[in-house]
Amino acid sequence: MAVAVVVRVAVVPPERCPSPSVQERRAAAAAAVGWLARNQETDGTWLYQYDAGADEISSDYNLVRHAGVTLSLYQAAGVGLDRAERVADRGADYARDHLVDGEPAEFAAFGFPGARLETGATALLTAALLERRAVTGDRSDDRLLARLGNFLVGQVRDDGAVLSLWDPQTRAPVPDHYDRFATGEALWALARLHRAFPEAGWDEPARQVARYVATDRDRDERRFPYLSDHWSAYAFDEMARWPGNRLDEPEIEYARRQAGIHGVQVRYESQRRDGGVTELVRGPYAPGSGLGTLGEGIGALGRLAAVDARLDDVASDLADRAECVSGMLVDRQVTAAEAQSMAQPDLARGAWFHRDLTRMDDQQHAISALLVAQDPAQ
Amino acid sequence: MSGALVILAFVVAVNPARLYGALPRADDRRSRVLVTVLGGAGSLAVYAALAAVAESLLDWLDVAPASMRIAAGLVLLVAGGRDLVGRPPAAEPALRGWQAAIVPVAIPLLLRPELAVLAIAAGADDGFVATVVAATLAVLLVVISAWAPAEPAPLPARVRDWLVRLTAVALIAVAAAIAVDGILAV
Repeated sequence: MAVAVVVRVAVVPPERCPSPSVQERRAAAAAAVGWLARNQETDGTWLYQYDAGADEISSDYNLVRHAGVTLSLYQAAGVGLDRAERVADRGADYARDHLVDGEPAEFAAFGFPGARLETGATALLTAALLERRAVTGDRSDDRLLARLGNFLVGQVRDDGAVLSLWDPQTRAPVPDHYDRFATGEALWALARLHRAFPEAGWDEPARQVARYVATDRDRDERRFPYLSDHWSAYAFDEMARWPGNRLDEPEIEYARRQAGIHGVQVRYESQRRDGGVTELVRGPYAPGSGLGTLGEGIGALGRLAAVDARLDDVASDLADRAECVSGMLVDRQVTAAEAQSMAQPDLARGAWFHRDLTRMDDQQHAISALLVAQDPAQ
Repeated sequence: MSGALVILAFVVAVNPARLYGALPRADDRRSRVLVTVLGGAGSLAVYAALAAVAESLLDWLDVAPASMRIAAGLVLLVAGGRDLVGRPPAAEPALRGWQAAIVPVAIPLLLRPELAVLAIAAGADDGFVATVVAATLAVLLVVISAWAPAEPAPLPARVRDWLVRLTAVALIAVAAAIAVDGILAV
């Protein structure tokens, strides 16, 4: 009996996976879009972080997250959520106003003149503008997209590794500087560029990075613990949809490994509780951004499994985990009623908090995860 | 878990060499084998029942089969450590006659928490038949060891001791494999 109690409490606490309806998921995503709409400044930036415990707003800002939020809003616009496109357009305008131009290949990057440029910011802006292009049909950014792509290609080393910074002093990428997410972000942007502009040759650098991600990155950049990389998951799903393309075996193996890495994290997260003995043994809830990225990764891998039969054996479990993430997100979002008891209801309603903090990317990743779970087949 | 891994897990978790010295010392070999068969059959019935309801049980407990695999791996890991460094169970006073099948054959020798957790994990993963076959093979080895004469023992004590510890090492390896399998599963 003692063994059973220890196993139950410490090893396999119940996995709580609410099953929200499609309407509830959509409503949760819409509420998060509402948070981003209410908390957008006139220049197109968003409130970066709010501490509900201290009732303090952070003055920090992050361009990678700005681009990511813009992307998630265009994804929301794609499923017809009110206000999403308008709010995203303001974010995109801010980005277009903060581009740095460069040579040799004519490039543009999202950043501040004189400061180091982050590959991730340009990659996610590229993905956001491609999402906008798909949603609106507007082709006015096509020239800009090519220049953004040129910057990304310049960050790719011969072995497929992606350098995460560009130095305005040397006017070159910063050697040996990598970021755990920038590689996947760049890969996804390049993969999407090829899908949008199949004749422009974006597939070559994309394949180069994909090969590196699938075979070398874990060894070269981060041996343990293995990275759960939702951006690469998006990218491999995208590449699997290139006309006539079939992912290599190492890429499928990588996707399978990612499915496992995401899956165990979802199961672990679903065992967490807000308080009690379980919080002691499992820790507190993950931030909305962390839970959201798990949902994005699982959802993207689920879409990949839908188009590549080699992942059939994990497709059903991926669908279960995606549903579980969306259930947890709906369950943990601050409702309008809950927000009323907080110091600034407009900064709380529709958000996800972690230890009294909510940051703009909590809403970003949660929106994307909810939308992926809403219709994983698309 | 593959079927082969389930069989290996049951055999090394039961660790027949470890149980040899604790089986009841009946007056004759036939009685000793009989109570071992009875105790083994009773234990098998329990494990079969756990395997049969494993999926429903895990559903009811809100535990994914992959998470149960991790639990089984960790519990087996602890059991493997105990088998490796601890002394094998010694013969203790048994109930009279056929009741020795209950104490000590079933309880505490064959009905053990780590085997119950393994039966549930394997039942949910590999199904009823694979689990029962694996558990039967493991119990069969215990029955065969009961058939061997108590005096003189078929293996010198030192060799048996090494066999117990080697099996424990195998259990630790199998337990780690099961836990990792659960961790890497979706």
